[in-house]
Amino acid sequence: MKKNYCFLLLLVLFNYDGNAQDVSEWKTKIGQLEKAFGIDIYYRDEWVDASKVTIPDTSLPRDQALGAFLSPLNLSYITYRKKLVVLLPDSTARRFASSSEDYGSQLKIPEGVTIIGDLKSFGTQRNATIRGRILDANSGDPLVGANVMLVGTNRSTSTNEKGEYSFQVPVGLYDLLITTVGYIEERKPVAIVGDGQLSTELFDTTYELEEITIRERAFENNVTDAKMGINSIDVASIRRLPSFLGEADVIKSLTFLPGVSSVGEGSSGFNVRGGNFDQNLILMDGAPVFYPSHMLGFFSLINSEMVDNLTLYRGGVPAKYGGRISSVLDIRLKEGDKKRWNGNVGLGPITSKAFAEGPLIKNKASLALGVRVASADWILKRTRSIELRESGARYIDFQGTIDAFVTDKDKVRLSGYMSGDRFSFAQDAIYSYQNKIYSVSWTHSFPQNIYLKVNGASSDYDFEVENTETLREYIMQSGIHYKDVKADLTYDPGNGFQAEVGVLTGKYNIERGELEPTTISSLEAARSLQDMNGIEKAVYGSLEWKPASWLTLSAGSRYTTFDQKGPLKIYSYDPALARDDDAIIDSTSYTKGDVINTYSGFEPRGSASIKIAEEQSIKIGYNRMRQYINIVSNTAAVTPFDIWTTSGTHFKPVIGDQYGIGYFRNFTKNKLQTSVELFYKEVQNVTEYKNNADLFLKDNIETELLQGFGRSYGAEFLVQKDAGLLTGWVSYTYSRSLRTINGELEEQKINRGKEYAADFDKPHTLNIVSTYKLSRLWRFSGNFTYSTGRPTSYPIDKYVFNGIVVAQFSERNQFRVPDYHRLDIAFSVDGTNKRKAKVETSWTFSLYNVYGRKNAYSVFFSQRNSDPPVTPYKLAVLGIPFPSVTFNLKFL
Amino acid sequence: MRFTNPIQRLQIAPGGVRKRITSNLFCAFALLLTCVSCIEPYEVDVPKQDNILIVESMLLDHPDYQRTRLYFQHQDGPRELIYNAIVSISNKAGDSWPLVVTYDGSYVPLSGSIEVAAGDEFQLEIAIGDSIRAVSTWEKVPEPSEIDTAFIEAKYRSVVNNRGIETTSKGIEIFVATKPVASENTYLRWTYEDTYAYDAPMASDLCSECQYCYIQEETENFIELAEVLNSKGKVLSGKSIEFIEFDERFGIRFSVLVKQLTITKAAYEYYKSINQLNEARGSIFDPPPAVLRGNVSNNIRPTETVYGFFEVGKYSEASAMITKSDIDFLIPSFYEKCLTSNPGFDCFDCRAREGATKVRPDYF
Repeated sequence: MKKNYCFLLLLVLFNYDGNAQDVSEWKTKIGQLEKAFGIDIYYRDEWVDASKVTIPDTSLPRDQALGAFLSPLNLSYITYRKKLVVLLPDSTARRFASSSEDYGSQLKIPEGVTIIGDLKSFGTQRNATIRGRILDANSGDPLVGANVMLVGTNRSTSTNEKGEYSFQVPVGLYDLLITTVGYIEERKPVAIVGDGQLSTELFDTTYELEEITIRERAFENNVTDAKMGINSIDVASIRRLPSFLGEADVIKSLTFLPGVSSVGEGSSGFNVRGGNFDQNLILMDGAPVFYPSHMLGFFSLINSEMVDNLTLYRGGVPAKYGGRISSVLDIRLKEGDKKRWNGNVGLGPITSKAFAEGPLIKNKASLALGVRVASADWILKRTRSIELRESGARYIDFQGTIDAFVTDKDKVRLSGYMSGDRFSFAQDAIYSYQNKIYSVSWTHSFPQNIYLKVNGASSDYDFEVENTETLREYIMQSGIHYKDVKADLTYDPGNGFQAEVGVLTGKYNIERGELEPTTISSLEAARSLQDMNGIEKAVYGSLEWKPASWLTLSAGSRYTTFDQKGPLKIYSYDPALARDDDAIIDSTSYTKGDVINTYSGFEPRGSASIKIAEEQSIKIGYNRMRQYINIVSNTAAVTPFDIWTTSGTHFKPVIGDQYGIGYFRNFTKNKLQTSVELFYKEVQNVTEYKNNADLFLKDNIETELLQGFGRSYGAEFLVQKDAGLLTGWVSYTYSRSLRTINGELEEQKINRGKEYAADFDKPHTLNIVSTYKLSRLWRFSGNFTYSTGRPTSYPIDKYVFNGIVVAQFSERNQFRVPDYHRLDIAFSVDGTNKRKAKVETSWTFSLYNVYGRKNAYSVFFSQRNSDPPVTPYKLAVLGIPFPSVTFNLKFL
Repeated sequence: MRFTNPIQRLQIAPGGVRKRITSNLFCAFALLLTCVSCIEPYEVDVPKQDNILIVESMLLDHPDYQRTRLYFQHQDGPRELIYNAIVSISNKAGDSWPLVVTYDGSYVPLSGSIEVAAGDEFQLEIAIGDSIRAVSTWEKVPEPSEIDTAFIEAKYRSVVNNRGIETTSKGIEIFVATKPVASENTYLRWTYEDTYAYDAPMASDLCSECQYCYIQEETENFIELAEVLNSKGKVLSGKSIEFIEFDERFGIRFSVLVKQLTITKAAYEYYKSINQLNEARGSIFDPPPAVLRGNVSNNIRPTETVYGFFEVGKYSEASAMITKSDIDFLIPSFYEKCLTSNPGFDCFDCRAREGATKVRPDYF
């Protein structure tokens, strides 16, 4: 019998040559069948009653011939890959296994066959759970969203953020097919005999296929997953896109997703589904990031080299996340290569960076380390302005992770981030800010598919201005400090059912600002705002299950409490008057440890996915989120000196309720994915600044802010193509974000209490992101983005009052700046197409704002001496085409 | 000359620091985009309103500052003085003072002046035709904070230009010092007028009237404010209120009369908002512009904004002067200014200069 192909354990098992006597004759007859039909037949000798063996009729079609031959023997058969036929007794596998014989010990296992499960238990299970981990073969990094399927069945799943998958299947013989974009697919013949594990590694296809992916989870998961409004982003693809000054920006790339926008170029925040920028929770390995930018917003805090994957939850936020009402951006940092050291260096016009990863203990512990250094000084030195030549803008950041398997079941991760930004203006002032973000986590796998993860995180942000101007010397500082511990317990048997519970406790300390004169002659007065303190606690539970093959349900809730803590002096105001310094009637001082106020509430979450046809589903969802800290700001963008404040006596927590419905349809075997999502969101206690509010170093900030009601709604359309030479997506979003601030007194209203557009309300947004593979080495990519201009207030009149020209502005946000559109392109070329090259080089040439549109960041009205009064001006931040070249060198 | 001995440091409004930080941040922001960010005029088309009432009304404890002017602001046009309004001021005690219109369109008390004492509350009422019954909120006269001295120094100073770039310039700086302030929270506004001596360089010896004049100037577009908090009994010293670059006006003698107004918090906020709006540069760090509402509203059409303010407060003044000998820098002379092919008439007759008078002002 030919054994030219690797085979299943079971087949071998059946092919066992026992001690049967006088078998040659009937074996010859089986051989005739094999020869006639070009098949291999596997069986156990003792199953064959030699007396009943007949002469095979090879003139019949194969199946009939086999049927006729086997029927008298009380045997049936299964075919495998058309050429392999396995004979089985008519009785069930269970009956077979109920005998106490230990077949396993007698096995000869051929090359390449993968057995899943314990052979001794073969037959005791009709269904088995298989689970495993899919890793990058080069780096050992988990592959997220890889598709794992059993060929010929409808069973498939995809890997989670740890690269893990699991599903339940009937025991049997299969081909397991593992695919993910950018990697060579892997097909493994498997014998599933019981619960077991199969992990594998995939090789990337860097030089074979390039694709950009953004995913509503992976492939068909966007149809089957109950949750919606979720995008996982492949960082490798972000690097291929055109970028500003050549630095791939993971956070700015989010604004190409449906439902995500930003207020303008050079601003660091982003807005999700009509939410303010402080309503996004950015988690870096579980630790929150409070100011996510370098150089005032031109670059993201996060080094794209260090990012393994990021997931943006803009709806359908799982119960394990909370604290902000609009979105959660979960950034997972890279796990170092556990096999060998490798790294890369990159050079750009402003930013240079290096990255290295490798094993600390081979296959057990690894390190990944990234560093970026950026300086705009050399550009400034070439300017004509003396002040600018003496100015500087620099940043540096370090980011690292250590991962270690302490035991087979225990994994520990340490993750750290440190950054410093410094910009000096002339010789007068130095602005600097630092982020320090750390986390440590321990994951333990218990038997019975239970996992425990304990995570501790700390995040500190500090801002400082040092002014050295004569007579005005001072130092001003502010910051926010956060620490938390959380624990999650997950039960994931792999059959579509998943349960998760967890707890969290976190502590906030907000230094709202302190100004100290630094010389005796300084005219600045010392001022210090009171710190804000608070403790947030949360407990949550969630379930996901499939009551029917066409239905996936997910439900959960989070219960959070927030304690506003002392020390703090709180003012009370005359209730008949608008809050104002003159309306203060009393004050109460709390000491350290006092609980001043407590807010608490449930945050129910739920969603359902109904599969209405192959590759088509409808999803519905509801989310409630509560937020206890806010940025105090009246600028459109996040600034490095924005101060946070907590809920408390004068500010109620912000509560957001979001309802969503979506239709998801994939085409051509999930290669083309489309979706339409509608959402409606209501926000209670949304915080807005008063007209002409002065928020700077204001201790009783409640006099400058108002709370009211906000709502937003919209429709998001996405068409995405993941495979082929041309890949990318087109997304269009229509959405509105509206506010109503209607207090009892005139001073407590904005726009006389009528609903108005929020600062970041941009009804129409169109994004086209694409990459075309020109050859094995050359790629071309382009982005086009269009959005409605953001709302603003224009002067509707001007007049002279007491010799002063006064611009009379409209009510808030009654006008819009001109529409925004921009095209960026990039060519990238790789220096080699060898699969196992020791060194890989690549060049990226990109052109930002190809047609040099002077997109208005803002329209403003200035009264300059030389101008007619109140002349409108348009500020364009990047009003010319912006070329850049980046070089990347990768050591393998 | 510099007032260098402050009794105690005062808390000055944070506006200055904020402005500084935002303006510098704007510069930093601009420098990051050096040569690529651009500011250019932009056409906007907004519907303008017509016939909006502007109220320019002051009630201070000084007879010159008890006047009200009313205008209609026309669409795209100049403002039009209103002569036919019925205007009165009343206090909470029930007294009422009708105002009468003068030839220059100012409404002034019919007889004498109104006594304005700290703690008194006043209201302005205006009736025009059938469509306007405007009334101010009750404004309470604040405790007065008097000016102590004003002084002038010649110096270098860095200024921020229109593009947010800091440059150095030479000129004089006007400072004030107050007497101890009267209440915990005091809101001050300064304005000034100046006079310089002018010797027409090409005046004929035959015309003595033509040779030497005093040129008086009123400030335009000038807002200088301070919010002085938690400072009862302290003084504000060395407060700079204006910087003027050197020109020929400093060739002989230059005097200023600084007027210090103790105003209400509402008036302070109003002026501060105007300042904030006028200084906008459109950067991401600018607070967004907002509708400006004064303290006067029209009861007949309450949703229509009435422009302007009824400003109630206390008045004090101080003068300062500087002569050429106090200035070490080179100053262009009147003569140089007239050395052109086409000298102005004021080169021959000092009275041709705008603001010229032969009467020496008291403070000169």
